[in-house]
Amino acid sequence: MQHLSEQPLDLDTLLQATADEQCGALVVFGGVVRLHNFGLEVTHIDYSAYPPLAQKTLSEIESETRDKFGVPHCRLVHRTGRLKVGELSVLAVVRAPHRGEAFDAARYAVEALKHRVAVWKHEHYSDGSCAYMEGCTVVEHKPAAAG
Amino acid sequence: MSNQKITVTLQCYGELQRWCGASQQVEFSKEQATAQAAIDQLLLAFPQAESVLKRSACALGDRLVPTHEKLHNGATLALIPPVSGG
Repeated sequence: MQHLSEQPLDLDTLLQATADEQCGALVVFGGVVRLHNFGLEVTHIDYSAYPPLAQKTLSEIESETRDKFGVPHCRLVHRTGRLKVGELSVLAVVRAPHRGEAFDAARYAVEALKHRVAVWKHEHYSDGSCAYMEGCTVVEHKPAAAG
Repeated sequence: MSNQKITVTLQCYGELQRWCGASQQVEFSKEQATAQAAIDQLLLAFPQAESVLKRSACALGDRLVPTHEKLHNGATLALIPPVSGG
């Protein structure tokens, strides 16, 4: 499955791919380019990625999330390229039998994505300035030992 | 002691591109061919990138590697500054 896309993200595709009659809970998170940041008006964001590592890390986070929370389905996709205000930059879809683990799993997956995936955003503002967003230093992730 | 030189391509991402451009080639002796040595070469050319480089990780393909990782001639080392997806 592709985890990075230069095309607009398609929620319906993810919903169809994860459809499961055993799951009574569906949590969808969408990250959206917002109009203001640090008091400046955003015109657009250029998202870039290092695909070999970003794809692998997104896949690992999906797998970790399923294992850690016992949820059958977790899918993550991230947009790259130039996004206008209001466009979706990321989608997370989690399905589980019950809402508790679905909410927890979705939060974990999105937080992990923001901390670990090799994607960068370069914001552009209406005054002509621009800035790379402060991010998280990547370190090799070692899942906690069982027990 | 061999005096053989090797060439490594450094791919820069995110904020690093602002200082170093998208790609740089560095050359150094085979005995010193580690990721850290490549970073040190880049730093000599672009000292203004120091604060970002200090917080950057290294990757070969889809694998994060430590700074003491040995590099071979023709390797492409990706430099991964702090990430900001989402």
